[in-house]
Amino acid sequence: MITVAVVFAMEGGGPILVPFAVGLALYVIAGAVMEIVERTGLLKCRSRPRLPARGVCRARPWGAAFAHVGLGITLLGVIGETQWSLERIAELKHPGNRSDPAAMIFISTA
Amino acid sequence: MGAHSQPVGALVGLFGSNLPARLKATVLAVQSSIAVAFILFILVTSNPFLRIPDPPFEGRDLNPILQDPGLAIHPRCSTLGYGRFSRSRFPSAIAALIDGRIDAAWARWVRPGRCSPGFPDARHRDGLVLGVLHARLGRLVVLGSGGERLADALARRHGASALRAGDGRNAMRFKVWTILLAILAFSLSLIGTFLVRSGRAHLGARFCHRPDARRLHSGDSWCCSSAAASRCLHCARPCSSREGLFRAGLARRSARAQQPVPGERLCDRIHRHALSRSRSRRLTGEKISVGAPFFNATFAPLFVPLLIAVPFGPLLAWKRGDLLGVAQRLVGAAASA
Repeated sequence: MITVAVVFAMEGGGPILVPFAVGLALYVIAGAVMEIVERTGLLKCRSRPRLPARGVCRARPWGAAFAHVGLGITLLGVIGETQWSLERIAELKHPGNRSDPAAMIFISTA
Repeated sequence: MGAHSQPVGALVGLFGSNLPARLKATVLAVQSSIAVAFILFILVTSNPFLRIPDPPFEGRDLNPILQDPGLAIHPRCSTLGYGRFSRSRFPSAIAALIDGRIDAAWARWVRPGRCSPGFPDARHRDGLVLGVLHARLGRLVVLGSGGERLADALARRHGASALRAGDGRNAMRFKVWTILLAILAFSLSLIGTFLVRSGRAHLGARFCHRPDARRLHSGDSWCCSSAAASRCLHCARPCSSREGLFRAGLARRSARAQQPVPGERLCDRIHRHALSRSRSRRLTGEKISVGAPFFNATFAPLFVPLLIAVPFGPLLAWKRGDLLGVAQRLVGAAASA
């Protein structure tokens, strides 16, 4: 998997660490989802349907799971914004400073 | 901040009937000393009673950044959290250290909802978190989006302070740890505030240049000395070495107590670097920044292990966790990621 991620990043021309960071974010999200799945017994085979256990209905586990999913989504956003953002902050404070957004070139002369 | 903290301090006197009289008196004394320090600082650095010899014709108008609602509301939210924290959790911790009695009565007092009596649903921690959200969202609104700014929102002083404050749920079990977190949260959030307000530390963009930054050095000195004094008091107490936090074994309750550590380390490093910034400029003339690449090099090594550990927390048992069993259960999540 590591080899595939590195090859994918090198062939795609992107940063090598990005697939790992995306995987880390997905791992955090999957961990939170797995906790809820375990608590609710969603994947367990039962002969007849049963009401969820008492602890499942409390708000706290759901809150923790949502918070962890939110952390993973935030991480995905940070990675996307850092690596593939088109926004640039340029400084044209001193003479000779240069910025070339899109097809235009700005050069500070004074 | 000083004005907001006064009513919170009064609430301790009004509702603290279950506190031992000696502890209550010490808490009130510590609160009063903080209030005196605040008032002295205001009088020394920016005295509101001083007359301006040459007043501006139509005033200086509002700072354009403060006209944005997101940034206009954030100081209130931040001071809400800081004020409550400085008048509730921190004085309780210092009073317990001064008295040398960290018992069940004290632990009951620092439980969530008890430190801010009268505000059971709006605790100091929520105030801090609200401050973080408003400050950082306001910054994103004004300056535009950016990964570094968002990471900054998570990692910098507000977020780290909110994390570091702990929640006091296990105050009796991890009492010394709770006290240490309270001291660190108060000290570093104050130092961070003065660093940023003086314009000497910034990550995303500098909002304003403070011509009176030199006078704010006295604020830095006060923060550093109060932090050092409270830390020394904490170390001087013999109960510090008897804490069984790491001997308690891996469980969800000890993990919850340890979760602020990465944020604290990150905040410490950024603070230290920010302090060395002005020193190196003065000594060598070299300009160093707390932004990238320093921020990236600091952020990733501390937060990647934390993110790996995050899914372990909810799956651990409350008193005695099985790390290997949890790791086996998380193999599926890791493989699917």
